Amino acid sequence: MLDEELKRIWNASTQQERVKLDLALLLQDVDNQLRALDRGIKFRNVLEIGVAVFLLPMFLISAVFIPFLLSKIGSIILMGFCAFLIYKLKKVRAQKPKDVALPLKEYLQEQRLYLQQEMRLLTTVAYWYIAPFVVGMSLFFIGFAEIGAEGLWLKVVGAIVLGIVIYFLNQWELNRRLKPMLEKLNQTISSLQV
Amino acid sequence: MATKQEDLFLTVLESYKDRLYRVCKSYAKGSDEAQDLFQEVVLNIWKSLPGYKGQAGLSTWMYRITLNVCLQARYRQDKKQARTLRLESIHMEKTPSEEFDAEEEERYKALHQCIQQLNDSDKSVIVLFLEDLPYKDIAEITGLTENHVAVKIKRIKSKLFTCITTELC
Repeated sequence: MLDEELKRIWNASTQQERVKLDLALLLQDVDNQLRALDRGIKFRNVLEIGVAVFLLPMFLISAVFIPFLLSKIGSIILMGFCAFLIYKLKKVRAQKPKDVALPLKEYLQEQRLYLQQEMRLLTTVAYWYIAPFVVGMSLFFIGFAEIGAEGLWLKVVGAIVLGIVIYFLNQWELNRRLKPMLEKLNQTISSLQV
Repeated sequence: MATKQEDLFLTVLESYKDRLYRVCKSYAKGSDEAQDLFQEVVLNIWKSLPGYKGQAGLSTWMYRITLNVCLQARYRQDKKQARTLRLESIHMEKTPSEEFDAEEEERYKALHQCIQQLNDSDKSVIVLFLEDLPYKDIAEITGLTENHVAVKIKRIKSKLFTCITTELC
């Protein structure tokens, strides 16, 4: 089979199925879809970062006004945790490849770099997310023991359990989604170079 | 009144729609997935158009976007985003099967089947070759050298010929 024959067969597929564009509607349609996608991204950002932005002044207030030393220390740790969370997520999001018009090899390499950063974030989640969160929350609750508040240990255990759940959810995401994705990307990049 | 950019978008899309759709089809498992991919390509072309400064030819630029979007979609595990895209202004018009040659259809099916069996990088190179792009453009789109493209195409064609011959026998 000759090259020309192959190309002819390839082109003939268009005879079976053709794309029809309604040009009068297309621009409006594309604009609406982009706006909907943007709303989705903003909503996700509000969920991920907005909660930390909201909690930051709360912990500042509790660090100033709650009289118990351990609760103050816990609040300060949690403030640092919220600020660091905002910084970390913004930093990774900013590195997401945006230029979809790059040459394929370059685009795949950028995707891989971003994916590796996301994976690093999840691999180290125990140190930068779980530990400060659990320690901060626990100290915050234990501080109230000074006034003999009840059920404090239950709250501490709750914070630890929440930390463990968050840890396993992150590891699940890492193993289920990111690792296979990286494997596929590595395969494509290396086969492109052969 | 349409701006210059809007005019450009509509004109290039009208001229390249079938070519880009053919590329999408080679990365999709079925017609629905191909349509989803094509819609995503259209959105990305529109989004990227303000950044197009003419460094690469317009067709090179659009094929880059198409390949990148198609590959990215394959790596994305959840197809949530693709499913939420619904551009009502894009339709597929299918020709009734009695209107085209059965033998021709069989040959296309064999070719498509064999392309599906290639790995993603070989697939990207061969679909650009089938789109009749010169090696120079394929090199610009993939980021490989022209020599590398030539070597790859020779190897992929040989795989493809063997596969098609088996499929058609």
